[in-house]
Amino acid sequence: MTSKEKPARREFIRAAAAAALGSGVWLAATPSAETTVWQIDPAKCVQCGQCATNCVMNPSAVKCVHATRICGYCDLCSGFLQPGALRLDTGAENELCPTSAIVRTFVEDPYFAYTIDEELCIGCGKCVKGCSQFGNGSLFLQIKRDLCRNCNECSIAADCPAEAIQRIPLSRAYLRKDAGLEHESDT
Amino acid sequence: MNTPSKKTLPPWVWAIIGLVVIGITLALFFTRRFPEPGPSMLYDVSAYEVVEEQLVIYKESQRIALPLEEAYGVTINQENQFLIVGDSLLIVLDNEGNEISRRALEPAPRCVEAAPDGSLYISAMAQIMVLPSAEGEVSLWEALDDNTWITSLAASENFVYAADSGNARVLQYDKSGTLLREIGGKNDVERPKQFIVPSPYFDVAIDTMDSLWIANPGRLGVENYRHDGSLTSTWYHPGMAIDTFTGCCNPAHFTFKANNALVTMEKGINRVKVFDAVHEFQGVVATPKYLNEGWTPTGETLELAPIRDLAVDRQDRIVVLHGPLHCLLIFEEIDQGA
Repeated sequence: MTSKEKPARREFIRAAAAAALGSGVWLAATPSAETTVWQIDPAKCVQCGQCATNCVMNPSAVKCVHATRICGYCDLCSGFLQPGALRLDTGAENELCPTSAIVRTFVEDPYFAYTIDEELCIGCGKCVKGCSQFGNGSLFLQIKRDLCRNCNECSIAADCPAEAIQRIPLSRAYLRKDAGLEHESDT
Repeated sequence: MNTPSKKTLPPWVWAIIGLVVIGITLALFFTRRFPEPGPSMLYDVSAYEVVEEQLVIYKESQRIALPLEEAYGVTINQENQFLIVGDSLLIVLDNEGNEISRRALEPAPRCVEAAPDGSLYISAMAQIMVLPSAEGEVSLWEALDDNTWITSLAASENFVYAADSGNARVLQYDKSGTLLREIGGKNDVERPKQFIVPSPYFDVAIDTMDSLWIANPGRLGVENYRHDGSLTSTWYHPGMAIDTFTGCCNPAHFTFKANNALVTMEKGINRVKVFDAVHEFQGVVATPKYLNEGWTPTGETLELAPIRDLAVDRQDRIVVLHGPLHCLLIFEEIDQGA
């Protein structure tokens, strides 16, 4: 071994070590296709209210999501208004949501758009039940990936009476509820 | 000088304390401690589902099981036979529920209407078929656009009406299949938002005076039209009370009795009610509790309401097509004098 060869070998070993370390960091930081996340199957959800109380996050990582393609943009929206509301307006006494997380916006007579204020939503699903029972079911609950801690044992899933919460591959998240999409998610 | 003796607990006490601490720690670790959702978080309309007994003026007199997985529509012909569509079939049953005939139809039928002259009008999503009789040859009318979702058919003496929930319009045809008029829809310049149809429940019916009635589900009522498409009257009755229409899209189905009494079916709070010819509330045919027994919702997107269709037979009985129970429920008025 000559003295000229030594630096080359040392550089090679350094480069190899750096490459191995970099690959390790990259693999650790990049979720693989097999990584799974907790998601609610909207077709199974019965809106029991426990998503609001059982999540380790406060407020819950479960939020109401609106499938606008399904929405009827109703004035008398059963997801927004209390049953038997005296007036069809945004008065607090008429609103169904306990935290006023649904924003009602006039579009044109007699249609109104509804959006969810995620910061206010606690994931109780009260609006989802109202929408599903009387309307098209365009509102649904889902676990937001940016808020979920992805616990090994999801405390909501453990108590879910409908067994609607399941782990699915990250590549399939989110499980959406939209016109025709519920069948696509099964494939 | 005596050093004071150090007081120490005996080892068995320490052992007990240790066990208690470990026990409490394990109990806290393994016990789930989440509060129950309070009433403000729960959607509850059960109070509105309660019906006073004296308001129920009909009783079920007959139940006919249907050999269909998914039944969608029922009508009654001049011979008082039940004609039911579903599972890509048209089935004819006699008054006792015995099967007379069945035939496959393509595309899969969703609605059926027996005209006074005996011919049958059947619709798939965007296609209307005509049969001179249940066994007759099928002729297809011109298919409609992809956005069409026909949810009801009605036949008067001279016209055939198709309620298209996808376009919020009612199409008027003559008996040969020529499209004569469009009532409502986007193309009606004068009244572009005539019908509000948030969900695929949009019914049309002809009363005993050969007058056209169309539901306006978003306004929670029905509208009466002349055959030239002009509006005669409207009747909207929103609310949560028993004599009103609830939710966002009701009445989901309606029909008329021989005395022109209006029979309505609502979804959300599933119930069947009767109003007299001037729309005074008469009473309840079937309560939510009665209609919800024996089945559970699947929770699927756009899951159909359990009551798929309504009809009135030649004996003036109310025929209710119950999808999840796969049967026809036939109701007769309770004799109040008995």
